[in-house]
Amino acid sequence: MSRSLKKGPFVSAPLREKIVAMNARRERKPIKTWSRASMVIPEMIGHTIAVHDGRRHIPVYITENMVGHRLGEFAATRQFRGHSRAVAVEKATTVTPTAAPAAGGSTVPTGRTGAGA
Amino acid sequence: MVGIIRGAHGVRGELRVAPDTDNPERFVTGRVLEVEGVGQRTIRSVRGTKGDVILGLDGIDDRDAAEMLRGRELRVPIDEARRETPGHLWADLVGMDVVTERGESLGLLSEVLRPGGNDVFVVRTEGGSELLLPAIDSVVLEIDIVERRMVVRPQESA
Repeated sequence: MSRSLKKGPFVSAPLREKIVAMNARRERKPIKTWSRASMVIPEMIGHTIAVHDGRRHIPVYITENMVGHRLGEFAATRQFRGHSRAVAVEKATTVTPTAAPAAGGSTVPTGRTGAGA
Repeated sequence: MVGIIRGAHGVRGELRVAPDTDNPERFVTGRVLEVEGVGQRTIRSVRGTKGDVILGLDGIDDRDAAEMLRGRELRVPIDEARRETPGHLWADLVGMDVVTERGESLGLLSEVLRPGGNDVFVVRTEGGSELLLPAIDSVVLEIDIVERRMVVRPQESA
């Protein structure tokens, strides 16, 4: 059964408080969290959230198209090392452009705060 | 390396290939690939899905010949990969010196992770610990492939 719409998306309370406070200060600093089940809400856009993958905190830059997904989706708990030298593959990294912090963050209502971190 | 041959497909010499490339145009009819231990071969046909490509290569016409190539790598020259792949190749990034804007050395880039969102650079510091940097432009300021140096501005924790 899916989550009641009345409750709004689940976001760990401490995480939500930190995001709201940083938005009020127009600050962008990475926030460590173990809450992989927290949903990405519009207030998080532009922040970097370090999501625990079971071993370390993976810095995840939140973009608009991540909204509605869980944080854990962006910090895989398993890494496929491949059958050959990983660096020899034709893979490339494009540096993601970031936006400057907006005043006061998003105004989209996100419902009630979920429980626990 | 752009892919690895997983085995034969059918009886006409087609190959099942697991692609390992970010270049969507890599497997196109008429292009030339180097098959490990065999040499250059032109792509005769392409079908299958994004994660499981079925390739026909010139000179490989029956199942036995295809089966012999199981486990072999498909390769392209590094210059061609640099030219055609958008972004910075991992082969060029790994081993780079990572320095701050003030010129302090943080360590060597040891690995690139792709955990689901942005890519993440793993920097091995001199003390042996790991520093994870997101591949975003507010952190990664400059990548110099020739000097093998990356200038970064590490973020302070909240």
